[in-house]
Amino acid sequence: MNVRSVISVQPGESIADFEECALDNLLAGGELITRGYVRAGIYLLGGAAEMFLKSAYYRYCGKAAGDSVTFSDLHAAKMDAQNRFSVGVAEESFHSLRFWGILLINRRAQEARALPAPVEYDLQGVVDRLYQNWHISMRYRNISPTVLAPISVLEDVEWLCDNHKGLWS
Amino acid sequence: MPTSTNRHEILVDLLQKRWERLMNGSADKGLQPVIRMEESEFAGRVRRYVLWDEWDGMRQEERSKVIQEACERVLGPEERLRTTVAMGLTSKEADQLRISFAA
Repeated sequence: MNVRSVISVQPGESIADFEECALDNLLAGGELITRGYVRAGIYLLGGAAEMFLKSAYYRYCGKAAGDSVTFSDLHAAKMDAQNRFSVGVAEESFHSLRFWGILLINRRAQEARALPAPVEYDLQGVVDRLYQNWHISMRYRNISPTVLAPISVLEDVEWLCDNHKGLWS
Repeated sequence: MPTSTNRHEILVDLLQKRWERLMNGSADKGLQPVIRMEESEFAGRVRRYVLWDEWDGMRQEERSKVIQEACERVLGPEERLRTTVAMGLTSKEADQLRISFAA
C-alpha cells in the first residue's frame, strides 16, 4: 500500500493525525532551522501551528482523537465563523491561522467558556505574529531571508504545543 | 566599528528620539525611520512596522526587539504589551512585500 492509497481510503484527517503531524513538523521545522534551512523550517512550523489550532478548535467542538475532520466540518466552521461568531477574516482555504485563532477565541467567549485572560492574551499575540510570519505559499515562494523570523516562529509554535490542551479543555 | 550590543542600543536610542519627535510634531515626516501602526483583528491589540534602511544586515527578531524597546520607552510598558507584531523593514524589503508606509 502506498501513500496515495492510504489517503484515498480515509474520509479525512483525524484529530490524532493533526496532532501527531503537528508535533512531527514542529520538531522537523526546528531541526531544519538549526541546520540553516530557514524558509523550509518556517514552512513546516507554520503547518504545525495550523494543525495545533485546528485540532484545538475541533476538540473544543467535541471531537475526539480518532474522529475525522471532513470537508463538511471545515465548511461548518466557515459558516459558524460568518454567522455566529463574528470572525470577520477570510479562512484562506482554511490555512489562515488568524481565522482559526479568532474563531476559537470568539466561540469560547460566546459560549461562556472564555479562555483565561492571560492565555487568551498570549494566544492573540502568537496567532497575530504567526499569521504575519508564515503563509501556506511558502512551499513554493522564495522569501528574502531578512524578513524571515525563525526564532519568533519557533517560540510561537512551541507555545501552541505547550498550551494546546488548555486551548480546548 | 559598533558591536552588535551597542548597535542595538544605538538603534533603540535613535528610534526612541525619532518616535518622540513624531509624537510632539517636530519631526520631518518624510524621513526615516517611518513608524506605522495598524489595529489587529484582536480587539485592543496593534501591529507596529518600522521602515528604516538601518535594519540592513540585522535579523528580524533583533529588529523586533529594538522596536519593542523603543515603544516601551516612548509609550510605556502597556503599549509594548498591546503590540502583537513589531516588524522592521528596509525600503527594499517593504517594496518586495508591497507594504506601504505612505502617510
